[in-house]
Order: sequence, then C-alpha cells, then structure tokens
Amino acid sequence: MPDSPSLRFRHKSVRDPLYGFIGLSEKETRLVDTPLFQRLRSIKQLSHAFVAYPSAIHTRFEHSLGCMHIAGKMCDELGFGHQDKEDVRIAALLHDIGHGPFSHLFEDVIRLCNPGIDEPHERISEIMITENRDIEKILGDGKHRIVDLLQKRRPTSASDIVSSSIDADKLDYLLRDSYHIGVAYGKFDLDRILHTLRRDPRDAALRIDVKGKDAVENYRLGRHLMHIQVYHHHARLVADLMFLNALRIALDNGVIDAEDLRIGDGPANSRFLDFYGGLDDNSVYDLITNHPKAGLDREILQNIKRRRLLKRACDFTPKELAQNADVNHRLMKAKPEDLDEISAQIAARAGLRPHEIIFHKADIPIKLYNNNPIMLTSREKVINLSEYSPFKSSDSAIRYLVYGPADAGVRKKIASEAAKELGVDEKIVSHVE
Amino acid sequence: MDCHDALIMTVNENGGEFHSRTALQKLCYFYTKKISGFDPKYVPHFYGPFSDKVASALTELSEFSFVNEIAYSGFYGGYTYELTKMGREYAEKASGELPDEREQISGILETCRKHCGLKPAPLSYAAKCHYILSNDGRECTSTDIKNAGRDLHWDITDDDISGGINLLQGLGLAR
Repeated sequence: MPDSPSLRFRHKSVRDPLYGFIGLSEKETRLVDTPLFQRLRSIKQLSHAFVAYPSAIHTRFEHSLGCMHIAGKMCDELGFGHQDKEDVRIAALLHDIGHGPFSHLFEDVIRLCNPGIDEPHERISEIMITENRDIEKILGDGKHRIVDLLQKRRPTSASDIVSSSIDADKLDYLLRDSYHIGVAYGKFDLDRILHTLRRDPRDAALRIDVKGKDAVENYRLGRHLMHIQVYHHHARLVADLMFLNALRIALDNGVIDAEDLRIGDGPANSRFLDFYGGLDDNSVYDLITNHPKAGLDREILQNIKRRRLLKRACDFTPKELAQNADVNHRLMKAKPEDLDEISAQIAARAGLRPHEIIFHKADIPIKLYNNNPIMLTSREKVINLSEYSPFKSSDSAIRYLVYGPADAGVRKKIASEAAKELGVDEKIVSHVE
Repeated sequence: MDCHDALIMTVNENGGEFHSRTALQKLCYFYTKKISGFDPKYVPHFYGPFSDKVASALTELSEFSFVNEIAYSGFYGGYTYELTKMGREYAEKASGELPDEREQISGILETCRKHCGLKPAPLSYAAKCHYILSNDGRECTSTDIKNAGRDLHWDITDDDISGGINLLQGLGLAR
C-alpha cells in the first residue's frame, strides 16, 4: 500500500473515455470485483434509448466508476480528509447498486409487489450494501456510513456530493450520456464548477461560488435539454412504456413470480436477494421470452427487439386545453391508474386491444427547477440560483402523448377517439403524421 | 382536500393573488398540522420544511391554466400567482365542497397575515422551529433549536426563533 494519501486511490487504474484514467483504491477494486457490482455491466444506463440513439448502450458500470471519480475530485476541492473522501467515493461508486433491469423501469414492478415502498431503489441499495456478504465483508462497519451518505440521513456537503441538484451522479451522467450518444446538449464546463465548489462554514452545505454561476446555468440548461432531447425522446419513452406493459403482464400471468420480488420488512428475504441479484437487462428479456407461460408479454418484447414500436397518434399540452376547465381538472388530478383507465377507454372506442394504446404524461419541468435548489454563495450571502436566473419553471411544459399502432389510419382514429374521450375539439388533440 | 385544493383556496382567500412560492409552501406546512386528512410529506430543505407534492401541485396549477405564474428575476425575485377565470371557478367549487377546510385556511391566513404580512422569511422561521420542536419531542432552548437547525443546514438566530415561536403560538402550534 503506497504511503501517500493520493496514491491510495491508485491501486488500479482503468481507462475512461471522459477522464483518461480512473484510479481505484484496493478496497474500491475489491468492491468493483464483486458479482453484484459486475452485474451493472449488463444494465444499460439509458434503458431503451438505443431505439432512438443506436450508441446509447453504455452501462451503469462505467457510470458508477465515473461518478466515484468525480466525487473524489469534489472532495479534493473541498479539502476533505482521507476517511471522508474514501466514504464519499465508495458511496458514489455504489449509488446504483440497487438498480434492476432497465434501471428505473423495474422499480414499477417492485412497487407493485411491495405496496408502501416509495423509493424501491434506495431501499434495495441499502439491502445490497448491508446484507450482501461480499460487500459487507469489504466494508465492515463502514457500511453504515455509506448507507447514511446514500440515504442523506444527515445532510452535509459529503451527502450533497452523493445526492443533490449538483451531485457527482448528474455531473458524470450528463457528460457521459452526451459522449456516448453523440449529442452536445449535456456538455458543460466541469472544471469551472469543480473550481467554484464551496462548503458553507455555517452549516457545511455544498455551495457554488457566484463566479461559477454561468457554468452552473450551463449545466442546468444542459440537464433540461438532455431531458427533452434524450431522456424524454418519444421513441425511447414508448419502448420503455411497452417494456413496462410486458413486465406487468408477466407478473399477472406468473412468468415473474411476485414472491421473488417481495423484499420483506426488516432484513430482506434471501429469495429476493438471490433472484434480484441475478437480474439484468438481458436476463429479464430471456426470462420472459423463453417462459412457457409467456404470451402477450413475449410478443411485446419481441416487438421492441425488432423495433416495431407503437407510434405517436397525437400529443398535446395542458395549455392547449386552456379553455376547458373540466378536462384540465380531470387531467391535473389524474393518478397513473387514471391515465391507464383513459388509455383503456380510448382503446375500447378505437376497437383496439388495451396494450395497443399508451396514454402517457411526460412531466419534464417539475423536477428540474423547483426542488433541491442550487445555492450560490457570494461573500456572506447565500442565493437560490432559481430566483436569480432568467430561466424559470414556467418556461417548460407538461405534455401528453398518445401512442398507437404504426398504421396511419388507425392512429388518426385514435387521435379522434382521444378527443372524444377527453371531451375536447379534435383540432386541440393534434394528430401526429 | 388535496394539494391543488389547498393551494387554489389559499390564493382565493388572499384576494385572488399571492406572492411567494416559499410562503405557500410554509402555509401548507401549517395546514398539515391543523387540518385533518391533509398530509403531503414534508422534508427539510434550505428554506425550511418542503413538500415535493405541494411544489408539483403549484406547478401543475400553472401548467393547467388555473393560475398565472409571474416570475421576477434578480436578488429580490420570486413568483406571484394570480387566479385565472378557470382558477376562480375551481376555487369557488372547492370552497363549496370543503367548507370546514376553507374556514381553517382562512383562519391560518389571517393569523399569518397579522403576524408578518405573509412574508416568506418569518413563515419559514416558524415552520423551521415547528419542524425541529416536533421532531425533538422534548422542551427545547433557543440553543437547542439553533444547533438542530445547523444540522439541517438552517441558520436561525435568537430573533428568528422568538418571532417563529410567537407565530406558532398564534396558530396554536406551540405553548
């Protein structure tokens, strides 16, 4: 073991297209070598975005390494000691360890099997870190410090590096996703942001010096544009939503056994740990397509694989419904199950099977500008960037998308039936050619 | 009553206009303590207790044209919300269907208005104090509140605590 603290994070080095080399300590190397972490090599970072961007096939594995690397740089900028830096880097390394196949999509199924769990991926990460024998053996008692950081049980600049509006996760994935898919929307001045990181002396919170304001605006705008152009791309969305339908059907017809996905209160049941730990993007496709009980679920997955996707029949924004209070009221208050019901009604009106219609609410704006404000610091003052910025939440929009079969005539009928179901003029629910 | 109802009735009871998103967040926090069945989850944020559901509902009211959101930039920037014609109809309907809740909202608004003219900072300090006191579960001194606040990234002075407790007493939320 090298004596110099900075060399302790260079036990191994791995090539990275963004940062050149990423150094790993001995402990980090052992964590990376566990089967649970290696499983992240088979979980794509951007789920089904490859249907729109063919090279969007990078994985949670390299993102986790990049996230750890950025977290370490942030610690250096803030002058963290060795132990704190080690904890933050490990928390960043393991922040996605609880992800299931196709990232956030599988959480929907976990929720169905575990009513009452709000954030399944957080709970599963905690279980993986505290109950997986390989990881537990490497981390020892330190596992609790890692979970505390990931769960933000005590907000500090260390926990802000792991999870906040400007954390190592987002700083890495925006650059990495942009690089891999070949767009420039998510690029920003990382060095400037790192250089202007500050720790508030009063409460130890993470702040950005006001000199970094424009770099942070660039980052924030990049994040917004990546959501519009990539994360909420209509083709990626529909592939994800079709996959979700297949998972729900697989759960209903017993292809996936709900008991395998029951986490249990207190310590997780071993059946869940074994089953979940073996799941990845490929294995869940294989499980469903090769299962003797599979039917419609298999058909949907085969359609995704062959890129026979549902297509937009129509889309509209709430602003376009502006003069119709009843419709606005109904849609504004609609829960996901209400949208499913609207979808089923449109399918029935159009003479189609339920899975041939998807009525989806894309809510890009709410999460970007309102919550977890990014705070700037200028001498003694602390300023919320959102209140100082020309970019406001009202500049963005909720959008409803209705998808149906590829046939143009059928989609035109769907647009017409959607208008009737909602009780609005057909001109408002514009048909997508 | 859900978050949309609470917010639209608040703006309506304030004459159809309301300045400050933070103030609306904190008023809804007080509603959770006074109005049974209204319980959006609040977690500690920079400006005090914060509810994702309330923030989303406010954005949705604007997106669905029930309120106009007017944004001001600069150091003294912020947001003002005005009811639209559709918003007034919604507020009247909600007030008719939820008379007890409307009365509670009106009372809380009146108390807060008298205390600080509905300015966000005093409402925020009161909400912060209440959050700390209700999570601590024992008699707290000013020093205890300040220390607990620091752990939550909240910088609170003795004057802020005194003003906050005063408002909480007016609302019947502190002795």
